[in-house]
Amino acid sequence: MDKIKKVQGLGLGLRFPHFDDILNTSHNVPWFEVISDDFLEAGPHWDKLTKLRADYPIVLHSIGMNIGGIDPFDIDYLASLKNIYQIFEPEWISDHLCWSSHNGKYHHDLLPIPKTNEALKVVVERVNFLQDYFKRTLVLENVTQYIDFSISEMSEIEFIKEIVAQTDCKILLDITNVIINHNNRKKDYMSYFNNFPMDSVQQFHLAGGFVDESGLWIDSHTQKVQNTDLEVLQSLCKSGKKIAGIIERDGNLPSFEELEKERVSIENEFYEL
Amino acid sequence: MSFMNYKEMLNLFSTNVLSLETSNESCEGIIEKDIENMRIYKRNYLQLCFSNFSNDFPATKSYVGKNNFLFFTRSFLLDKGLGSVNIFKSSESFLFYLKGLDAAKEDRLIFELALIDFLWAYAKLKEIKVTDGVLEYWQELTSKKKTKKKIDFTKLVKIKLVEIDNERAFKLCDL
Repeated sequence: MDKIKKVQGLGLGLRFPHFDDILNTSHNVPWFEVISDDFLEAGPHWDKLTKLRADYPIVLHSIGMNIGGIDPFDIDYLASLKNIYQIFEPEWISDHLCWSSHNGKYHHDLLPIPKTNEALKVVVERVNFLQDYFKRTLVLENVTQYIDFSISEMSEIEFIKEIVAQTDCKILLDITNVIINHNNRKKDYMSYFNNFPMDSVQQFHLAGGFVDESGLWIDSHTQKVQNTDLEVLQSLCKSGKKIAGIIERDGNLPSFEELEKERVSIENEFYEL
Repeated sequence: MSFMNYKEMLNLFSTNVLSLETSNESCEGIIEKDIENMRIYKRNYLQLCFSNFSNDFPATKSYVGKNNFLFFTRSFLLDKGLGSVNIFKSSESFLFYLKGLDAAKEDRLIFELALIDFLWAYAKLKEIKVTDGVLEYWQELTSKKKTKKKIDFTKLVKIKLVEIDNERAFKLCDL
């Protein structure tokens, strides 16, 4: 495993259809974010990830810890994660500030947490448990939220600040999620970024969504990154923060070559190492 | 102090999404103007499973058609739901759910094609028995290459997945 290269600059989220091109073609992607849930069980894809890991730093990003849930943790799942953390040695590990299962039923979605004091207590306890279990700092991602709760008692930023203060976790700032949440509420997203605890940010995400038939922005990861998102990135870069990030693309997947062109163009224009 | 506790909130939200119903009666705790947006979470739930099962059961989907396959997926979610954090494990549950459907009892090709799809996707079954000619039909559905072999409903064959020169392949075995 490569111990010298560090996660820095603008990387890409690894997606299976690109795996062979990433391993077999020449490119300048500095690092990859790998979805942990795709590698829970051993198989030929582990061999490929081992090859990738020999040449590139990675982080492992999971989607099923159910950090905001109240069901007991799925111990088999956590053990599988711990196993791949030991094998592939990610520079850091992350999951989402959301819940994804309840009463033994799995939604496989990133569901929103009402920002109440009770929910805060649940999240803090679970993040502390996970950090003890993995013996690693957890990096938590803000999610897209299509509804607001009447029972919320604090803002998302207050909620995140409290979690960070009480757990020492780090934050994966999904720039696109923030913008989509604000666009859908017709609110100014720059004030959110200006008030965000940037010192806690370990990583950022950029992605492209679309507007559905009802006029709602959907976080689909199916399009190129929007200019609005790049303007936010530029302002963060200008503030002197050198935060590593990735472009996420899931649906409507272009070729690796095309995605790499988009990455290089953003890196050159907006993101200076 | 919130009127509704966190557990109650999750109960209501989860039940609402898993119902896949268009009505939004139990949305207490969500601000009224956003209740309509619960459809996004329902759509995500159905779409994720449909997409996952479509990838794992391409021949079955092609055989029954997109709309029937969506109907089977929706029925599965309403009857069984997803019982594992590992989405890939749901395909095994879906396979055996298909077996129990009236449509599959009336047309055995539905389950047999699903069985071959599952064996190809996961290599988890040691060997399977299917009607003679179904494997060739599966190959026609997945590769779009026409087969001259006819399905012989009076005869069963046994097939297993093998590796030849690092490539997966099906092998017909003696019964």
